[in-house]
Amino acid sequence: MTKTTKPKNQLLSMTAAPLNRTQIAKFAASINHFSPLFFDDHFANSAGFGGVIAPGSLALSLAEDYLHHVLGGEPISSIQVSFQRFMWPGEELTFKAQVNPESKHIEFEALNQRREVVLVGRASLEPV
Amino acid sequence: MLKQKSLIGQIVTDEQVTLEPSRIRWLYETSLIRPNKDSTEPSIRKVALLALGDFDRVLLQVGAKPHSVLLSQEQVSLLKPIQLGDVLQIKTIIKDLYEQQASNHPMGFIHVRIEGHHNNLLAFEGERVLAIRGGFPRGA
Repeated sequence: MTKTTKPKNQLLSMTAAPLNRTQIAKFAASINHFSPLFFDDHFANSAGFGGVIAPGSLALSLAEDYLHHVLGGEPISSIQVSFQRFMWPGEELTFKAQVNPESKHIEFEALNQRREVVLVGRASLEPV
Repeated sequence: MLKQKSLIGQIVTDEQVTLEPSRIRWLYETSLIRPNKDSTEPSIRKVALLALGDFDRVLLQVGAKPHSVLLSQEQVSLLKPIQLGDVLQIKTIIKDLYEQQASNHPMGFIHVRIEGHHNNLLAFEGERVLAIRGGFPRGA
């Protein structure tokens, strides 16, 4: 994991460890999503994905952990994301975020190692 | 008009679901940005709440093949505190579905609403948008 300091209103960026197949399969099982796209290379190839992919929700879950770190554990009441790209084993996701001080919203994104946007999202901090 | 349009508004499932600690722990452990961190108390991720929805049954109703389904958007709001082991009443509802053209290919979209009630109060609400490559199945 690496950290980079950012200008005012921007939070630390963090890079997660490369996605691996065990992680992908275990995560897919944990969300009850047993699509062979997540563990069967042959199937994923025949479906046009070029190999197993990671569930989009894995990027969201990593983003939640990232926000937990950069916000010092402050609870997030709501989160919304849009998935932009597929993720394959070996990809390294870097998370970035900035705070809107007026609305208390946090806008965040995840980029892969080619600096392509994988996910964009927004989180709110209102207490539950 | 798509025959699947008649499914809009349908409550696909309304069932009791337990927030199983083992599944929550798997989800938590596999999506730590610091994977080597020692963690004994996994927090309940918003993703874990959305995953309580019965998306398999939604796809069955719509007639979509799982390999053609992609995740497009998700959102979830926590309204009341939820703990590991809580038993929630989960409703999975087809909120909307429609088709759009994407690069000259049809793409179907299903908006699925998930509601989680705890002690008769709405504890969380969320929405997942599923994209169906090739659009919705036609025919019988």
